Amino acid sequence: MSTSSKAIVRIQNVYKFFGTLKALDNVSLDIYDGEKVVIIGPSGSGKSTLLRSINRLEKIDAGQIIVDGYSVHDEKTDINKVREEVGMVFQSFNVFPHKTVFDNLNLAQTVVRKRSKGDATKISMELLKKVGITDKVDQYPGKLSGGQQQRVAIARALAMKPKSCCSTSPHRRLIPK
Amino acid sequence: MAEIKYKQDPVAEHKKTVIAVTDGPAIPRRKDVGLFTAWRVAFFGALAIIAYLAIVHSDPYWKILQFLPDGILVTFQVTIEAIVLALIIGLFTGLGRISKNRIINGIASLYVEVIRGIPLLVQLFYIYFALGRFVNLPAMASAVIAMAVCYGAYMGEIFRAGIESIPRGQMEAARSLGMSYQQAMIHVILPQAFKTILPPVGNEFVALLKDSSLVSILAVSDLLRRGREFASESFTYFETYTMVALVYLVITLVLSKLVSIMEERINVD
Ligand SMILES: Nc1ncnc2c1ncn2[C@@H]1O[C@H](COP(=O)(O)OP(=O)(O)OP(=O)(O)O)[C@@H](O)[C@H]1O
Ligand SMILES: [Mg+2]
Repeated sequence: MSTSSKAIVRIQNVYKFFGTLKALDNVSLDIYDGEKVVIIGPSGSGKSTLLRSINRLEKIDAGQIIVDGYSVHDEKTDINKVREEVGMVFQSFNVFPHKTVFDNLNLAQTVVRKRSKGDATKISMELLKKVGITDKVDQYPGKLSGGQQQRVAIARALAMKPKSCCSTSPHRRLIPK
Repeated sequence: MAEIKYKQDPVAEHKKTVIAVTDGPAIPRRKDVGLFTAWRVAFFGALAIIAYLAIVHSDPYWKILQFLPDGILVTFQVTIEAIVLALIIGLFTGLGRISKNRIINGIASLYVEVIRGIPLLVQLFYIYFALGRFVNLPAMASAVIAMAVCYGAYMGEIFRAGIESIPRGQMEAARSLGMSYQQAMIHVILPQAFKTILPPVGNEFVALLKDSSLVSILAVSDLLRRGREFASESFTYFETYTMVALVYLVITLVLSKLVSIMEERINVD
């Protein structure tokens, strides 16, 4: 373990219970800048729960999680600041059905990152090109396939230029182009 | 008032809001053939009777009909102003009802419970005279505020149901992108909830228009009060109230038809 690079995500002795069900049992993990970590485990083993607790979508019962120097589960932490820097791609994608593909990507860029419409559009276009859905930018997600929706969700997360990115996607759906 | 019920749809993963109308004229739907014709019979029947009476028995019916439009305008004015105010109250009540803050939640819930437990007419009197104690408002303004406070509680429940009908993942996705709760509400949740909210709001509008006849007691010259003014001068009570009832019927039938068209449009999208 090198000390020269900085641990961007530190997960330390984390426990999470759903009632009596122990979803996370003393989980510790350091993730360094630039590192790619794949968490593998059987269905229901707590992968999603762990990722969701990295940006406090789930509260943890013990331990701590530090992202980019912020203690995520400290009530005093401005969680919005943490979330801006943690890209999240959900298992069920959760694209915004009332927004076009383009606006799915542009929304948080303009509202949260305060980018101009022009800047946001440029970034969105680039990312949509990368994930290969340039022909559907003005479509609503309802008309997209599951895989296409997933790619929109990935592009949406990356458009924020987050410092880290979590994806709870089953790998079999991710067929890179 | 519209009753709101949930129907759990395990496949769609999120709650579908089903709103059953328990008050107001039955909303005509195209597939509901019986009702559809009932609507036609009522609507064209009422128009035919109005025309027949006004032409064949022009005294007093034609005179009554000429006397009423001012009142119709006031009825619409009260209804529209009250519904706009009720929508604003309802939005905040709905947000309060789903708030995790106990005090805010408590206040919103108490408001809804209290309003639901008191007859509309009693509330109207109470708010009207309570307002009169502290501020000197015109009768019209007091009546509008009173109606809005009453209907705000029901609107609050509609907003709550509408917001809750949006899958939880939408809020989570918005928050994960760094949006605040307010930003997520404004940009992600409310625009989606709008579709669910619009039809029951339309129904409330029709219900409010009918209930607005209660303000005639509060020195507001709405449709009913104009009728009463005419009747008490000409002693044609039966004739006048016949006309008033028919006019109300035509108005609510037209409005409920518009609501059903709106519903259909929304479902097509
Ligand atoms: N909100 C919740 N309430 C109660 N139990 C929950 C909740 N969320 C998750 N669980 C339970 O916690 C456990 C871990 O769930 P999690 O979603 O993290 O699994 P997973 O590893 O992501 O599985 P999969 O590969 O199927 O996505 C499961 O047993 C699940 O039933
Ligand atoms: Mg999972």
